[in-house]
Amino acid sequence: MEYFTLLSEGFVRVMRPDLILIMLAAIPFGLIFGIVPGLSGLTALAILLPFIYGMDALPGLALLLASHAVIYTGGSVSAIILGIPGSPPNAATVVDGYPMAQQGRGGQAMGAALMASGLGGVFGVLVLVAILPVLEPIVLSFGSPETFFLALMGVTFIAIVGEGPMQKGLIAGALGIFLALFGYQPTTSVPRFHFGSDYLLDGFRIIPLALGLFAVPELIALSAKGKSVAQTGSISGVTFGQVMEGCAAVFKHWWLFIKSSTIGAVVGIVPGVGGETSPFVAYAAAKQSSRTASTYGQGNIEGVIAPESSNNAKEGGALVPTLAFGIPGSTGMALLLGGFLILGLEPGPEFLKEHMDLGVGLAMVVAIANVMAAIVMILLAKYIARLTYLRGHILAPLLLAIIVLGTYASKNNPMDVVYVFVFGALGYLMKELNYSRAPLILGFVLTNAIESYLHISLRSFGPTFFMRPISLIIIGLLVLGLVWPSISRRLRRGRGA
Amino acid sequence: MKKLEIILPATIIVFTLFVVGAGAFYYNYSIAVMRFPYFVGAVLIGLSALRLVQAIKGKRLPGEPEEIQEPTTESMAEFTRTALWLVAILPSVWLLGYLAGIPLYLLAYFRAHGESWLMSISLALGALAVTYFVFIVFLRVNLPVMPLGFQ
Repeated sequence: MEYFTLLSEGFVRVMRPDLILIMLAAIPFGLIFGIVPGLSGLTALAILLPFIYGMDALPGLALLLASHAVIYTGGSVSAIILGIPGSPPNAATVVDGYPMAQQGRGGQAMGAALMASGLGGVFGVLVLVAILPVLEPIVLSFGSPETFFLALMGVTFIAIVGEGPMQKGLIAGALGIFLALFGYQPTTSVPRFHFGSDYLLDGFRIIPLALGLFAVPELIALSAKGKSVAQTGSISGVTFGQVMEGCAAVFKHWWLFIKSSTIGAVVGIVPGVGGETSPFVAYAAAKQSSRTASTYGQGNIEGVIAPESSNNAKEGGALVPTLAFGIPGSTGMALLLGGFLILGLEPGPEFLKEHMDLGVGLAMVVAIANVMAAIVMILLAKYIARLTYLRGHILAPLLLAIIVLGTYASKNNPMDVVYVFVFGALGYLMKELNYSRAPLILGFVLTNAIESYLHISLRSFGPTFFMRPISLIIIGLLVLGLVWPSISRRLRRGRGA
Repeated sequence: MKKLEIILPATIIVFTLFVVGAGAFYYNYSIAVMRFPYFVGAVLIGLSALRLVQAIKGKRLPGEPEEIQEPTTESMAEFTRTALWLVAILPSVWLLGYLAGIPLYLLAYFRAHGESWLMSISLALGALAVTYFVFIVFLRVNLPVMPLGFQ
């Protein structure tokens, strides 16, 4: 009963006019970044990070979450019209969405994708609010050793299952932790590795790092490409009637929607996996159980509903480990953790104990943003999709100007702007050499907690602090995660031989 | 690409050794301050050294594409040109201040990349309006509007 009161209070809190305004500003931003291929949701989050400085927790996180929650809604439109996924997780939508557009049924595909995205996002939130109270007593039994190993596991897992080879992911994670060691040491307050620089006394900042890693490499690619991404496809044949037909198709295939959204939410909960995986899993599951499986890939509307439902549902699922354990469920959530840090919050066991109301509020933000984005896109998709005709030469410098201004505005320090480019060079190299950038940012964000909990654990339990039962289980999972890729490779090779 | 595969882990190793070495021998930090950097530094150097050896031997890691395209002279020149154009925003805002530097940078960029005068001037003026009204008036950011970083 108490939780239901919390839910209703959370809903009322989010329906404040200022929060609605923030969401209304964030949603078009997220949609644009979703629609334009090459500008990922991570770039959107990174660009928005400087703007949450000085904001209260809920409005600040609402700005980030609302834009992030709707990225894939926007991405579905370019996947259908252009055959180019706006964001990587929209790739599965191309398989059936693009053939539908070529057959003159682009409006139907768009309607189905947008309705499935919007409702899928709400479904993911329902899963989140159902799981949070169940997890609360479990996470509250965690002490400092368990929290230390959990944080370590978060970095390791995102390195293992993220893009690129595991070894490179681990190097990135360790580098992120190492970069966060500059500045005041958390337990002794000794300024560490400052090399006589006032700037380094506070250590490297999250905003230049996030922007350098996730925005600059994308801007280089966009600028180098120069021309617009929309070389093919047309939005002229899309009618409002077709879009509404597509929306209705989601209700007609309601069981497929529920099944795909459940897959999305469950895959989203697994730390680091979410991302591109869930839409393909949902697509495969839909094809396997469909009576019209033979028409998949040739413009079957089920092939649009399944990936798009799971795509947005996974973000609600991904919030579960992010809020409860401080381990991000997706790469975007790793950047969102940076937002928590800027606002002085630390997700994890303590967060649920002290800020359950905020957690519920964030869930409401995701749900409302998804519904709003679906409505906006259903009404305006035809016009918003024209953004894909913008040339890279125009977009890249304009975004760069926003980045430079936003970075300076965050702390009024010109060195932050310089470091955007320093980390940008690192980000570009990592992207080119197939190093996953998410573990680096996550390692950077979690280092303060990792080091503090290590010190507290050593002081409280001595060198054998890892011998507690839950710690041993987490260590076991960590080791299993590290060796599993090579075991599965050997198993596959054995089966192939 | 092979050169870069070697350069990145090698740079990480040198950087980590330099920082940890400075902490241990120059700053003489206590073990409470250096315990964690020693641990993380050792892991980072170990992993990077392994990668360095693999890169020198030309070993492909599981999950990597079979053939990595080596950059050509043209693609390197194109990259350098693109990167320099983007980095040029730094001297622009430093020399001219944010209010004049950003619109002028954008104007120069658009013109150099073949956009029309009308489009270039419109976008530059739009950027000037956003910089002034959003950042200075609405967000009240103390942007250095004068040249050389002066407020």
